[in-house]
Amino acid sequence: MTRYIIRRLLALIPVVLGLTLVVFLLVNVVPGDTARLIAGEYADEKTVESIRVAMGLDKPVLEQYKNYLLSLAKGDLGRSYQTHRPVAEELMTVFPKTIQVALTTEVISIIVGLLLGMTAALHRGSLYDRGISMFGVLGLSIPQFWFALILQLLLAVQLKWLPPSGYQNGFDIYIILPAITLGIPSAGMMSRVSRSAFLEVIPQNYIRTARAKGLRERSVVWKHALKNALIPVLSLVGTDMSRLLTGTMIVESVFTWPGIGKYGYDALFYKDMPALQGTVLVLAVAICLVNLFVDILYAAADPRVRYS
Amino acid sequence: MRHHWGKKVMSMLLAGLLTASMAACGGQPSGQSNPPADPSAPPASSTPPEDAGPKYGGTLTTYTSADPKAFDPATLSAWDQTIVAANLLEGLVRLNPEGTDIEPGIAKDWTVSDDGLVWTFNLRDNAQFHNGRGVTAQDFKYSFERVANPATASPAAWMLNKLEGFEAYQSGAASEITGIKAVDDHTLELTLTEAFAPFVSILSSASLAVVPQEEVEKWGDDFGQHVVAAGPFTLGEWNFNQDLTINAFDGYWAGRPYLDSVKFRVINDENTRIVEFDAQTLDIAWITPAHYDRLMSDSRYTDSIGYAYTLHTSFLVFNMEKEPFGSNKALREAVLCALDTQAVIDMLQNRAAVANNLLTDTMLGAVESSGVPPYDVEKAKALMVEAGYPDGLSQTFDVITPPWNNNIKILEIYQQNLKEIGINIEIKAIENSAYNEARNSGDFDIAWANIVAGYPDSDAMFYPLLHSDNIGASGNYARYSNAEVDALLDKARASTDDDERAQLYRQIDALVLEDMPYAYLTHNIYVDICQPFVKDYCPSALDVSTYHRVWLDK
Repeated sequence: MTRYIIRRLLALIPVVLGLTLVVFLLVNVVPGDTARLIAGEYADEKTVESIRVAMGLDKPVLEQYKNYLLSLAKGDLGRSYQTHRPVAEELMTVFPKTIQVALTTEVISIIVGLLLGMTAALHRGSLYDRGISMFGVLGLSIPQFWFALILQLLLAVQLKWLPPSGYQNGFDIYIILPAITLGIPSAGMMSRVSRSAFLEVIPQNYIRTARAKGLRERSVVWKHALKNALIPVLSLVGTDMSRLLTGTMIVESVFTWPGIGKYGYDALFYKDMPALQGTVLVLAVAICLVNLFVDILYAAADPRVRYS
Repeated sequence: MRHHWGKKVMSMLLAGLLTASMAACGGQPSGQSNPPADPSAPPASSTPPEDAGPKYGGTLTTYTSADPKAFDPATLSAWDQTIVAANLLEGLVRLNPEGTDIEPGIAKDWTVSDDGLVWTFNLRDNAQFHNGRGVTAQDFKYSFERVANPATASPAAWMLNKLEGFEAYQSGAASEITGIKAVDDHTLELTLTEAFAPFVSILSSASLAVVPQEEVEKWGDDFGQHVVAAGPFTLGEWNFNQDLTINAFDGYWAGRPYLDSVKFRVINDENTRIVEFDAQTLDIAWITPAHYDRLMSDSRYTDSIGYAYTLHTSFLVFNMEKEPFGSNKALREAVLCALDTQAVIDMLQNRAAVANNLLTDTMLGAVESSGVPPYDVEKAKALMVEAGYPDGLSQTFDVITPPWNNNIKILEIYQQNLKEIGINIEIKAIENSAYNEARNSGDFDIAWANIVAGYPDSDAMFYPLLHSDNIGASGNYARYSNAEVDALLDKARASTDDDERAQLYRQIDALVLEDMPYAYLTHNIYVDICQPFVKDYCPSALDVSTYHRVWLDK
């Protein structure tokens, strides 16, 4: 197991190298002059040129990339062109906030989704089942920015129960609206997947055996069925966490959640290469780690899965 | 750059929702939705009730669209920085709150020699830095040389390039700029290589604010996050990407500001700002189109709407180096005559005024009607005949524009207009930097473009746009070259007599009208709303809001 984990972690290196190269090349292919962006509209050519030289932007792209890799090897992500602050430090402030909202959302939607899916499967064809299916479809098809606005207008402006947007350090009520917005599609998807997983598990022989030997229904469902139905749910958690970590820009923007989505967006807008590279790098590593974690969980949930 | 993130669908949905909820509350529109016609009229919120004078205390909550990142004057460039920076930083002169003119800052007054070369600034005795030390002329010398130093890589270096000895200092041949002289602690003498009238306006830039050497050296690369300067507010708590608070500075030369503090929340989404405003958790917001009618007709806010007639002009650029428009003036004039700008202004909810002139009305040399031909389809058709295209043009021309929501809607109106006279255009909305590149390199037939004055002087519009030295990225997007115009522009820059300058600008205007490299469209009107208890706030024509005169009545 340990060897497997180490091997997976080592496999991160080519991924990171490849990604940084792609980002570097893409940003350089896209038109637009970074030095001019920093200098602003009114600066003269001479001023722009001195900025270009000072930032090393006059060097060939590959040389810039080489320099970036050299400092990366020393653990230095560089300083942002915009803030002149170390990118690593900035990522340390923004990324935990995205993780915070992503984890909260994921945990809640796993619980809600599993419960709903289980209920639907156990009462197949009933009104419950149909209601839950509808919730699943709705959750998946509601446009997020629209839902975010409705929540804001209803819960913040009309009812005044919650602040419309913002962030407080620590775990505060500010997380509720973004978590609901992000969690509805997650829970919807989760309920559908877990419903079909349960439906597949329930008719199987070992469940019949468990019932036949007189186990209580609660024990059959929670101990025997759940564990096996978890496998497809777990793979969904992997992809869903990736979505929550990387795709929260709109929600972060509507609720002014100071996470990595907004950070990466600003970096791209200003062609702030060190900040952009840092964002891509951190996200790539995070996604790989999430997937690794899910793979390890597989083994825990299903004894047939072995890594060596 | 303030509001490009309009989301059409969202706005429409919101509009529907809110109209419904308003009807439910019995909201009664008062029908006052047109901005006052007189641009010199004071902003609506500027008259406090007769008996109550300004009060001290309180926190005003406003916004920026992105984290301001850093306030080192030498590295300022983005709007989100300058919007806050003007409250922290101060130089020799500062912008007035309306953003239309300059007023004395740390320099209480100044004189210019007859030849326009030597500017002598008398500094206030009571101006001090946030760390308590008095500001001296030597500090200005240090601050200016820091901006000019190539090692600083300041975007503002060009602002000082008229100073004597600038070149030698930049190239490393000299260790100081000889044109900056601290005569004594409170007298600063700046010597230019040529007379340059807009110089004092340029000095109002936050980039040329004074900073204390000891603090710059103490903080090094982190000075931007711990800025110590001489403005009316000091830097307070800063949560990266969340909010930033600035606090009243007791030692400010004009006395502390009324407000205890101003909190800038980072809110990128303009609809979120309105939601926050409605929830009364934000005190000032730009009014989005979907909420305009509702908020403008809400009687609570009758006295809380602020207008800024911005120093901003949008226009179509004809590429003068490309056929058929480049060599055919009748064709260019036909385009201009065919454009129904009033229809665009209606679509913009009257938040724009017809541009009869490159300059906005408050600027030196602006004239009421400079002879720009008005919308007239018949005349446009006649001009098409004169241009040699009685049946219209067979090609379709791309009009490039940045992908801002309003621009596309605006150009769709013009597209219809031009079709009527036989010119087919296709709207090419391209991403910002790609647009800039195409516009700057002349890779277009027609472009939509705009100019925002960098400093409150007519030169800030005329010079970049029309002087042949500035062809390309520096502002002359039409690649327009007219030796007579160049000579007059140079003369207007060198003159220190405002009457003469106004005269010269009118002359330039008339000459350019003959050539018509640009089809002027509109000037922006910026409309802000604030909570009723916010007093003496007015949005700035230069997008640099200042809060030292704002107070709260609650």
